[in-house]
Amino acid sequence: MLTRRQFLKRMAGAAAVTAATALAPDITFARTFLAGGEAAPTAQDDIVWDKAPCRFCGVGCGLLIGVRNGRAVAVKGDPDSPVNKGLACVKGYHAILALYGQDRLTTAYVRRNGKLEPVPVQEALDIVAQNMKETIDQHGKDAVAIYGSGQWTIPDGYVAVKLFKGLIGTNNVEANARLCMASAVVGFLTAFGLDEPMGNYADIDHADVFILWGNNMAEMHPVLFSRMLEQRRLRPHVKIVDIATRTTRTSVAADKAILMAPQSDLALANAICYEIVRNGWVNEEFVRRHVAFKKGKTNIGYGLEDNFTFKDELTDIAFEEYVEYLQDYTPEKVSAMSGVPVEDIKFLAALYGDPNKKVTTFWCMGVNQHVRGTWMNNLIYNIHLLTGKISEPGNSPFSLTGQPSACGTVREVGTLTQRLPGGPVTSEKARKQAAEIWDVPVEQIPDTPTYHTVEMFRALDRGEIRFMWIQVTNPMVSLPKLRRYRDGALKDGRFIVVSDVYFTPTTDVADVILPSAMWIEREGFFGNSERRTQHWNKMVEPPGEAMSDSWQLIEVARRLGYEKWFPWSEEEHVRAVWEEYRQFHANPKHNMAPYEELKRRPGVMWPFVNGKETLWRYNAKYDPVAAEKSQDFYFYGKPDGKAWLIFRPYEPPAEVPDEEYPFWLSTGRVLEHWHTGSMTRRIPVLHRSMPHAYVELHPDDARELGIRHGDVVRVVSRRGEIVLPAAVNFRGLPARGMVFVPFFDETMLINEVTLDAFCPLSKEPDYKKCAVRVERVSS
Amino acid sequence: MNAAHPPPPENTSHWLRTEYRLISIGLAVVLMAVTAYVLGTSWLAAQTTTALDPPHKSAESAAPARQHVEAGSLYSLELMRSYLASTPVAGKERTLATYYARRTFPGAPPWVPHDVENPMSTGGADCLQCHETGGYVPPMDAYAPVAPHPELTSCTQCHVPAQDTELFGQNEFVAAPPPALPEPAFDGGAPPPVPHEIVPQMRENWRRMSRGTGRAGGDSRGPPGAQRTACNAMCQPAPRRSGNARRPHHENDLTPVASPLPDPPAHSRRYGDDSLC
Repeated sequence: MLTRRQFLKRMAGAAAVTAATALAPDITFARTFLAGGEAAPTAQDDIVWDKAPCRFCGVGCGLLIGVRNGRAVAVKGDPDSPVNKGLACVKGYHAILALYGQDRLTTAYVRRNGKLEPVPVQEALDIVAQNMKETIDQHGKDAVAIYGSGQWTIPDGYVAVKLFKGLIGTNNVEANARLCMASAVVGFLTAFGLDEPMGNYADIDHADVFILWGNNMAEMHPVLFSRMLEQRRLRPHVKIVDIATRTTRTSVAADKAILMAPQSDLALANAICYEIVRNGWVNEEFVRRHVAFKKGKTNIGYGLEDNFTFKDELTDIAFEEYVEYLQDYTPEKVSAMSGVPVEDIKFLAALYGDPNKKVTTFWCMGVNQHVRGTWMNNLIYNIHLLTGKISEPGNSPFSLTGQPSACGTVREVGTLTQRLPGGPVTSEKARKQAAEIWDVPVEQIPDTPTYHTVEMFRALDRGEIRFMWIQVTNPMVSLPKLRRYRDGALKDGRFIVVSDVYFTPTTDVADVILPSAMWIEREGFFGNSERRTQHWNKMVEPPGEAMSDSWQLIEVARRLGYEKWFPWSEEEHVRAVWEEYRQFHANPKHNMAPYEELKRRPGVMWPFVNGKETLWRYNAKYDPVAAEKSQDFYFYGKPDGKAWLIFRPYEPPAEVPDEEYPFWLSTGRVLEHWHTGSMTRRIPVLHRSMPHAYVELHPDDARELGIRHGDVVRVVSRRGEIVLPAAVNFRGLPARGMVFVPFFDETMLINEVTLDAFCPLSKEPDYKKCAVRVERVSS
Repeated sequence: MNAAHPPPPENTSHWLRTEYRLISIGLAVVLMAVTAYVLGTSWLAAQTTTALDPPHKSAESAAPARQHVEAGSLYSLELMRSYLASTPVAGKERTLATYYARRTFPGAPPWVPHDVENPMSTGGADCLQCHETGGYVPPMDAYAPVAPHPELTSCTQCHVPAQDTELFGQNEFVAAPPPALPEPAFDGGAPPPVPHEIVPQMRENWRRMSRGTGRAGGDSRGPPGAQRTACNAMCQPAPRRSGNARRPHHENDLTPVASPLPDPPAHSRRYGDDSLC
């Protein structure tokens, strides 16, 4: 039996063979083309491919996941994704292996007499709801808290906010994104009034110069880094400049690497502004029409004491006054304190100041995890605002994120103590909107923020918080000054619930462990660094009784009597949540794409207005909101329609090296491991490449201390100590007098050593600067 | 002729002067035409907008052009030719078994089975000194596979070293099966069709897979392989990209001949047997 289709195929095949034979008479051709050759499926034909954003970092690469016999078996980069155009990194290609660690949690556990016992999930959920209810009855609603993460899918975060803020009535909602991008958020809000970057990754295709402030993109944002290298290959005038406290793979690959002393970035950025003003490189028309000059409070502290509070006040200043402030930051003065040569400061200013060069600045944790992180974000915007290099293709101050949905969930849904999906909790408008959409009385939504992350764990230690539910994150590895917060969580009368996919140091302090369905085991949405929301389908079944985090929350909400507000079925709830959540952003400044659109496309950027993505916000050419008000730019996040240039001075860090603790300690990440490594360490190829943490020393410091590569050394600070192998001339090269330790390794917890000082504006801790001593233990 | 206008002297070129005038006029006309053309085209060019993107790009057109990620695989063709003329080192050829053993699943980036000199490097020239052209590398005592994408220079982004270390935990991942190898068209004759998709996102190198410089075929007999790759590719147009949920897989036309995957040795034999192309 020959169908019409087969017949046509064979005719086409025969025609091709005839043509090919004429071209290459010596060659015979395969029989599939010829009559009788049956085309049967290959062994790979039963693989079904479906799109998903990568599980790991904030770049948000589009992946295609191959599923066969109910299991994920292969990954490829999605060539249709504008983020990565078909490329991924080693973590992304192996992301599906994170589903299949042998010790995956498949059932719930409850701690009884100090021992974890497996119980059915439904029983564990009863216990969670029971404890929550009792805690609220005995200690009030501010005694219960939820701590999630930027790995929460959008529905997870939304359900958490609705349950805790709208129904229970407490602002005790935080997420670990506080530890990585809170400074970026407050930077955006202070300067522009609206969160998240104005540009998108297409800036990479237009920029002539890339300036990287304290971020090792080659390891942390490898796909974007490759996109930059690609541009440099195609357009040889493109230059990459790396500014850092440590020489990394990024520095080696850059055209110029500039080393600076820790904390001196504040002065360096001001020196660049000084040079821009001195040389007349200020874009005067732009500044006159679109920039307002402000200054804030100074001498603002470090948050080291409990119950620390700070409120910034911005006051107007004139341009002349601003220039006056800059006089303290001449290249000569700044060079002396930062160690950056005067010529390099002038070189940087010349790159930013050249009106014919498009400049994109990237930054991430070096700027954000900083006791003056918000200030540093402001200072980078200052440079771009003075030169008018903003909101245009290629001219872009671009804040990168570390988690797949730090933007989508934490920042947009607002899973932070001071936020609601539609605005701050202090805004009556935002509370009214939430009350209306959630159908709850507006008085039920509390109007004052409670605890930010560090303070929340302090409150747990002090006993103000009695019940804490931790989802998709591992604070017992990632919090600074870890011992205090671990001891606090282990105190009597504290009830800790942990939803996770593997046992971690955080499940060690849990009273109940709930097994979670991760990533492609459930339907979900992530939002990446460039305002792109990405949807994926459920592709495989979760193991055992594992359940999505959003459904765990809904199950508990129903047990607390809130069934009416969560009327959906497990299959339908993701879509239903999306439709409800979208109402919060139903305006042209933030409109989100409809469900069908997101299901169909490899991510859609918001604001999604009249069926179009807004590629560059505030620019009238691309942004319809700006176009209503102006011919070129309109910064509609602020009531005056201007971007705010806020002068921020240099202030010293919370702790500096001294005789007893002579080294700076910076912590960070490595290419292979994502966050605390609970997933990536279970992926053999990643673990084999980077099996454990290490302390990286400058070769001269190592020689003075008698330490060689591989020796076992002790790193000691005023908070604690750890023992780990030394690395000399390995992945990176710290400056003299500085050591670096990655934080992914749960057996070598560098956060025992770190300091919990934070930026008083953003409350984000500084993981990059504290003082330590290094001692050799053995070889 | 009157006296006021004496005729031009006989020898000096009444004829020449007319011609001269004609030439000047002709030249002037040509110059004017050229000027008009140059002015016109540059004026027209000036009318096009200088914006890098048309304003109000539609959402659909915001999707990027596909990146030609494998474009670089042709760069080193010349270098490869000289390599192909060299004599293979017996017993050191890479086999298909090695090929799959260094990947978590077919299509995954292979890890680096040797020491990397400079862990601070992203790769690039360091890696390409062997992997651009492939071939036998005496210090490694092995054949280097060819990078199918030498234009992507952040090698360490995907290719990481594999240290001999205890695993953090066992992993129960089951990989996708390798693509089936096709039967040759008939015994002792035709080249086999390319058994797998040739798509950028799988990042495979068909030159290496077949005879190519990586010697994955494991067979040292037969004529140089450059021709062969050409003929293999012609024999069987690769199926179009199948990996898209939005387009059901079964729509692939021209699916290659089926055969369940044989054991790796048989596999490499089969690759060897088809060397008569």
